[in-house]
Amino acid sequence: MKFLTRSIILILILLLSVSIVFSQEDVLRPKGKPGGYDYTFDRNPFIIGFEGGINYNMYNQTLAWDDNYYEERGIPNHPTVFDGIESANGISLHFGMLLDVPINSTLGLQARISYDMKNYGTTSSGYDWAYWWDIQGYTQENMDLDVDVTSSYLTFTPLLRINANDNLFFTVGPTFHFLMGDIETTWTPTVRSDRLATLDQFQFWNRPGGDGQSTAEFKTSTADPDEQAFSTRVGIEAGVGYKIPIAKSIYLVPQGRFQYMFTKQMEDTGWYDLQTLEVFQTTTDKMLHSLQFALAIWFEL
Amino acid sequence: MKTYIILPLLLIAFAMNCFAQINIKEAEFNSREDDFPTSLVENGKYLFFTSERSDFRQKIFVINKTSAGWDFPEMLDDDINDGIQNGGATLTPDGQYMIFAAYEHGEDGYGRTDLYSARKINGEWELVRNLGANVNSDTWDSQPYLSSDGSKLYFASDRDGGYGGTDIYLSERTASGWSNPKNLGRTINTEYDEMSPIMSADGRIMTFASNRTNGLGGFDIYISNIKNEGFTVPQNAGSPINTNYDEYYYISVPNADLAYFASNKPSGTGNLDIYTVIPNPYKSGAVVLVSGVVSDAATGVPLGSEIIVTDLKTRKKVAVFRSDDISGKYYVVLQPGRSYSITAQKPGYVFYSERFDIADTDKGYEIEKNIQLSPTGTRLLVFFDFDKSEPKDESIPEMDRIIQYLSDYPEVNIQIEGHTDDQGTDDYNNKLSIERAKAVREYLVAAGIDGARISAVGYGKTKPLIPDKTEEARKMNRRVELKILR
Repeated sequence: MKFLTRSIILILILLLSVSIVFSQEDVLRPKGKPGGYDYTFDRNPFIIGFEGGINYNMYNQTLAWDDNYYEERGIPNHPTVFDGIESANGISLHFGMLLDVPINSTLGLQARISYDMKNYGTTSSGYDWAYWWDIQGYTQENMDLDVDVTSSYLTFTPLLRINANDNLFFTVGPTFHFLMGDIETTWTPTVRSDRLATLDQFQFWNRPGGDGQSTAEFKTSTADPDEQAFSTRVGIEAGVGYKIPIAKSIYLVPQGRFQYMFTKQMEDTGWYDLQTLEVFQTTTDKMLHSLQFALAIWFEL
Repeated sequence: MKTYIILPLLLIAFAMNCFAQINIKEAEFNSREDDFPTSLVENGKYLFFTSERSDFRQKIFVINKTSAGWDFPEMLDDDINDGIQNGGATLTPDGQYMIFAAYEHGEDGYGRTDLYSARKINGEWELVRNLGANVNSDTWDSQPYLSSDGSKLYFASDRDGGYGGTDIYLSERTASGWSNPKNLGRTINTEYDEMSPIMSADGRIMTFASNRTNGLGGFDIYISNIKNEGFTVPQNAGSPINTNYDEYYYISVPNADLAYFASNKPSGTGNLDIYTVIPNPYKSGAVVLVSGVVSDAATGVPLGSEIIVTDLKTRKKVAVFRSDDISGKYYVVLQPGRSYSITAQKPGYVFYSERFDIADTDKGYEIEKNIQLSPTGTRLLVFFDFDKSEPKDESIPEMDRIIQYLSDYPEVNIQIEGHTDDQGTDDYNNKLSIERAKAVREYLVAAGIDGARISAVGYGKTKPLIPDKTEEARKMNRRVELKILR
């Protein structure tokens, strides 16, 4: 098997080499260009490009609840206001530059470095269980919850460019995202209760320190010990672009691409009872994928 | 002693002055890759060129020259630029028919680089066809160039049987297609490479590139005149056109002091670049450019119709073009000193013919003539000498055309109407006009047209085409017209 793999790689390298050095006839030169190979690749091998665009970020996570925990407290089921945060999406910006090196007339290699903001959020409505000290029991109270997440990455994306024709091309390759700073999450719960319930009556919101208000804004960060971010994420990117010549050796290049990430954005977390330290909820599979739309300007060097 | 010194100095100064006047300027639309001009359309309004600007492969581009300068180059569609390498496009002056070269085109070929043709139909390039084994060889056949009447095809090939390297060949359009190519012979071709043949609009000067010895270096432009059906010994175009780098494709703009060529001298933007030459030291002789729009007489809608140019002296069709399907525009190049008829014909319409007597002038000019076609009507047909009832020989192609028309439309009946000029009595002219009409009728009947379909009348001098007493007016008034009766 190892021999077969090596053989295939060797054949691919040989084919690639032949495509570079093969002297191909054209309509002007019956024996091809002087020197035995197509020297246009030597003369103008590079494209440098600058781009900006938007990300449509798609975040997903899985929330699992310990129903026994609630049963022990006479609560029929877990709070539903958190169900809506299993998915979130949002739009943010990215800026970058790239270098394109042609291999032959069909293939090329690209390397792109970007400053890539990955922001997303969601709004959820449901209920949570408020604890009343006077009756020493729980009541179901309606609540709205806004969650907004901001993060920034330095991304490095080496790509194989495949030309479909003179203008249309496809790209595919791995993408590496390096976290810049912390991932900050802003939670904004709002109690919609006729009984004047306040946030410190709810288990989750009591923890940051309720102050008798029915709405508040809490910020958490991956700098916190219970919310760790992966500093490097790996994924695969596939895209399509179209070169529009706008001046000599200058192209406007609209592109669309999808980044499917294999690495989670953050580590799994759990919410635990401050008194018993019992974990009653776990959040796993925190995946963030992005659809990118970019407008680039390419310069042939 | 002074004469010996002054005379050479004057000659040197004169020569330097001549060369100094030639202004060679790089075209502003060159890319960083190869760009070379290959053909002009509508007297240089459109320049077709080959470029590697897209994807490092040779592709055919066209650029429009307006009063404000050059537009942005446009690449031709994928049906044309379908090969791995495509280029060398040559077009008839109206831009409706193209021959180009391609390596590994989607249309099957006969060897390596082959020649292909395409036609413009409804604004799109269609009917892309390999020129066939009669023209293409199993070797490299490229760099085609069509004469301005579209009847001769020059190209370069490294096929067997040449003088060495690449040679220039000629194929001629026949009723059955392009003829088997002939090597242009030892005068043009050498054991070195000859390529990028260009024939001037008047058909009298051929320019080509060659890397033969005693040039300035690499490929140089050479000039050969056509005299007595043969080529004169090619002359190197010299500096400043040629350099010690490569020069190809020297194309002269008809009736203008302008030429284009390609050079890879290092001062350019890319490898091969397009340059202009003003003034053009090897400009074409004068030609007459006839253009206009063919349209429906009733609706004014532009029509794509066949345009046939006939030399009235030799009675031969010298060119068959086509007006644009969308704009109805047609464009024809005529040579001075000859009489032509230009006929527009389209199924469902009566053909329209116009006679052009082109004076033997050394100054070219342009004629605009719009043509309206209708399903019925009267058409100018036949001319006569003074006091004669025998049609002039040059009218025979027109009469043959009406024979073809009546054969194609057997349900059509016609009336032949004879006319005279203003000289002589009414009685005499009435008789002469009916004699002229009868003469034409007899010619048609003798060709097999049923006489019952043809009536003949004489109008004497009562209906002059040009109511004037000049000899030119009288010449036009001595005529027979054809009226479609249906």
